[in-house]
Formats: sequence, C-alpha cells, structure tokens
Amino acid sequence: MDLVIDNLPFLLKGAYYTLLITVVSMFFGLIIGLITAIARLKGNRFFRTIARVYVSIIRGTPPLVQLVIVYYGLVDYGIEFGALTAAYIALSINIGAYVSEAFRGAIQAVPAGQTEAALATGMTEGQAIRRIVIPQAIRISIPPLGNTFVGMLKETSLVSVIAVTELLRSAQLLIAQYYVYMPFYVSIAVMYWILSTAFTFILNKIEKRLSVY
Amino acid sequence: MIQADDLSKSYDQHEVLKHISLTIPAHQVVAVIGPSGSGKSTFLRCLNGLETITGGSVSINNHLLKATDKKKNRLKTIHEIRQDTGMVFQQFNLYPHKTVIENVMEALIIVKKQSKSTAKTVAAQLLKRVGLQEKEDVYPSKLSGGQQQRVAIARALAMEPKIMLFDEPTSALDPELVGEVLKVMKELADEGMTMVIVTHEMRFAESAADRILFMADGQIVEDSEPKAFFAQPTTERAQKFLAKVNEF
Repeated sequence: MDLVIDNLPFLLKGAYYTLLITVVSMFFGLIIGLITAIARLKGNRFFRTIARVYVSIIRGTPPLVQLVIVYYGLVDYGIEFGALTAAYIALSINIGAYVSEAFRGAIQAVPAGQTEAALATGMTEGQAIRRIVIPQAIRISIPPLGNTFVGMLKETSLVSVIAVTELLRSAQLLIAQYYVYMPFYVSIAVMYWILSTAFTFILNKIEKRLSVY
Repeated sequence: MIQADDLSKSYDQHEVLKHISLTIPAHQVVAVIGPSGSGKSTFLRCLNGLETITGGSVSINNHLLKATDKKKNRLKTIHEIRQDTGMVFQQFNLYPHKTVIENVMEALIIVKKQSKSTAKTVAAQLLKRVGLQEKEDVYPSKLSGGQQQRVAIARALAMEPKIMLFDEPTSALDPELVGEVLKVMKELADEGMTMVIVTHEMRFAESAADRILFMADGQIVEDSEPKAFFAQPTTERAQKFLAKVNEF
C-alpha cells in the first residue's frame, strides 16, 4: 500500500493520459461518427458504400490490430506517427464506427413525421436534419453513446502496447521496478472504475439536461 | 390555384392514385372523404411533394410539377410549392424539443430568415389567433391533443401559405377536443383560405366545405356540392360509405 502511495503521482500521470486519450478520441470519434451516420442514411450510393465498408471493417477487426497497423504497419509506407498520435488516430477511427451506429439508430428513431413537418414548412432536407432531426437524435443516442465511451475508456489500456504510458503501462513499469503485482493492478483497476463512474455520472447529467421536454 | 392533370401514384406495381384530374380555384374549401386506403392522404401528400408523383402533373399556384421532371428541377419546384402551402398532420408532428412558440418561429427564422424578435412577434400573434397565447413557453408534451393541433395550425400559418392542406387533422383527437380544432379551421375557411381537408368529420365537411371529393380505389368517384352529396350521393360506392358512417 505504501508503494502505491509513494508512486501515486506516477500512477495519476498515467490516469491523466488515459483520460486524455479517451477524451480526444471521443471528440474526433463523435465527428467521424456523425458524418458516417449521415452518409449512411442520406448519402448517395458512393458515400453509403464507403461508410458501410468502414463500419464493417472496424467492427470486424480487433482494436489492437487496428492500433498496431496505424503505429507499426504504416511505417512500411513511410508514414510514422508518435505513439500518442497513433493512439488518437487509431482509437478515433475505431470509436467513430461505433458512434456512427449509435447515431444511425437514434436518427432512425426520430419519427418520419418530424422531417415531413419540417419539409412542409419549406425547409430543405439539410435544414430539417440539422434543426429538427439531429437535436432529437442526440438525446436518444446518449445511453448507447455512454456505453461506447465507457468501453472506450477501458480500451485505452491497449495503447500500453505501443509504449504510451497510460494507466496500465504505468502500473507495469512500477511492477517491473518493485516486483509486486497486486497493489498496482488493484489500484489502477480502482482508478479505471472511478473514471468510468464519473463518465457515466456526467452523461446522466447531460441526458437529464436534454430531457426538459 | 390547384390543378391536377392525369395525376398518378404507384408503389412498384401497386397503383394508389389513378389518373386524377381536377381544378381547385382559390378560396375554395374542399373536403376529401372516402374509405381508408382509397388514396385520400396520398393525394394530399402529392400536392406538396411529400409523395413523389409517378404520372401526370400537378400545379400549385402556377408552380408546375411533372412526373417526368428531372430530380433537380423537381426538388426546386417542390421547394417553391412548399413556400405556398401549409400542412397539418394527423399526428400533429410538433417538434418536441422546442417550446410552443419556438415551434411556430422555427421556419420563420430558418426559411424566411427573419430575425428572432420579428419571428417572435409573428408567432405570438398566431398563437393568440388559435387561442394559445398563454402556452407560448411550454413544451408540446404538456399540451392536450387539441392544443397541439392548434399549435400545428399556427406553425403552418406562420409561413403565410396560400393553400392549407389538412391530413385527417382530428382523427387522433379525443372526441371532446375535436371541436376546438374544427373551430379554428372554420375561421380559416371563412377568411377565404384555400383548403384541402382529408377528413372523417362528415358534419364538418357538410357545413364548412364548398365541395366534396369522394375517393375510392385511387379515383375521385364523386365531385359535388356538400348538400347534394350528403342528401343523395349518385354513386353506389358513396351511398354505401355514407350508410356505413351513419350506421350508429
């Protein structure tokens, strides 16, 4: 226990990176996901196909494989990223696929009558989607997005394999130094749990906030 | 004001509207009645492009929409048509995430590019007109069906349409709430609005409409004055329909 307390700053730094990677990937994942969802629902055949293939590939392959392809694989073609950048890219692309599915379901859950009412008042399809459909879809998508994000938070532990010192790797480094396992592993487990709980809490708040009607 | 020429609509093999031709002059109030599945709603939705026509043409306030139009032209014409038409739906379709007044203001701001304050003034007047001025800031979910439908009417009127289309506006309402909606519609009719109303309210059709269209199997089977129609329908289909409606 003393070991953990002595090394707490180091572990907290790991937690900081875990959180950073999660938030950055979430941010870009949301953008990618929204674009993908709209491409799948409203795009022409070309964009629809691209979006569908993207989601299918990402959901059909392990995130660890995606990560090593971005970090190690692309080096073969002279594309080199720093470890942290590679983590952002791989995880954003990964989560984007899952977010797009959450958005797609939510957009489809908004009754067709909403779009029709907007069109009937003279809005264009784009205006109807932006002003009427998306705001309602966002609220519907929050519970599935919450699952995705909490999953994401835990998936960041994969990034330890490309030498980003996030939570898991900081524990591994300490273990290599002190040759004791349990205290470090348990303490990072607790930190993951605290972070997930905080996430869920925030999302619940946002959902409440959006449920004024 | 409204002219349909050989208007047809089919889904795959199934023909829902069969070669409909008619003219509706300005200020006329037309009630469309008939058994369910007869194509009444589809016909109405073809008038503002919510359904794509597959044959013939329809002209709304001199905007001609032909089934043979290229997609780009078609979208442009439909957009113009929708500037001149307002529509009221059976399920109200109010925006649940916006307050009552925001529902009315939305298109004024987005489509007519009015400032928020101008839109608010216009919307407040319209809500007053449908008797809901004190509900401005509540969300639609807090309103009764009749109130929601009156907001929907105000929302459609905000765009200053030349034609109002009503798709079974009272069918989703509790019986005691039907009257308040019909009253607003009657006032509109008395002010000279051109209206096409798909309805099951026979007494309203008889008293408020200038003309009855009786539809069956995708065709207009009877086109006559309300008094004549309700006293003595000429076709057997219409006679049977009225007999059924008046059964109880």
